[in-house]
Amino acid sequence: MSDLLGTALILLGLPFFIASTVGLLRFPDVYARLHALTKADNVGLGLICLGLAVQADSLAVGLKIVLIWGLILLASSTGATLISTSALRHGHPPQQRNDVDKHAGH
Amino acid sequence: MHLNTQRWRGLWARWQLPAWRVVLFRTFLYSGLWWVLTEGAGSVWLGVLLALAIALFAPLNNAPWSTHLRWWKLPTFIGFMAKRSVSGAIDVAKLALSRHCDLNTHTRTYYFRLLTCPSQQLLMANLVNLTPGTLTLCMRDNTLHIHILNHPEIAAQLRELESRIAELYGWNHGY
Repeated sequence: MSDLLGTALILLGLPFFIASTVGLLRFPDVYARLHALTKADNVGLGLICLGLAVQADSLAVGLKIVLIWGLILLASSTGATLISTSALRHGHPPQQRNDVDKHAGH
Repeated sequence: MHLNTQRWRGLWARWQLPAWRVVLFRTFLYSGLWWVLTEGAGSVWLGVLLALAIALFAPLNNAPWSTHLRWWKLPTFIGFMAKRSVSGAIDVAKLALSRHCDLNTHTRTYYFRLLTCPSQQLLMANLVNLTPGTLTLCMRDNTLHIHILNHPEIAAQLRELESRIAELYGWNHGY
């Protein structure tokens, strides 16, 4: 039962990783790309970690995997702000786009 | 060498014994971490001794998890953030995989209303990155400069997040 649940969680996490990578390639600037990395990647990783934790041999190993996810979440979120602050300082202003309204009514 | 000795003396002079409840809580928390990191196979006494030493000497007074934090409200808050985080991930994933990838991006400045302590503001700056459509660009002078992706109205969302963090520290304000 735990193997099945673990596999289901891992399979659920994979599309988020794929979407995040596609976002990294398709989004136009560093700021939009960071949205993909901080949100989709973290949820994907979280689901995979939960899937592995469910299948772990002991409670301590399961908690260690969840702890690793928590630390990566913290590092990723802090890193995103540090990267965007650095990008701003180095003269890369965020693009102001409104593609959604441009296509509205067509 | 002389400078190092002076530095240690300065640190020792500033050291104060934390309240016994704080020491007890931190020792318990760090012992738990030791148990998790060693996967339950490490020496218990060594773990407790290390935990006690860190609890007594680590300068954690400026950390956002101060003594004011209402620990019993954490599960509700984690549930709230998990829901927001999944919602944000689904939004970004849909956008990345959509055929046209139509982006609506702009920036906005958010002024803190309730959080005045820098460590709590830093906590909010980090959590903004996990909520749908928002990314903290920088934090200065009681404001957050935020990049917004496909979310025209985020003011209410940010106010709610700030109120939830304020509640964690015991301030009850509606949102």
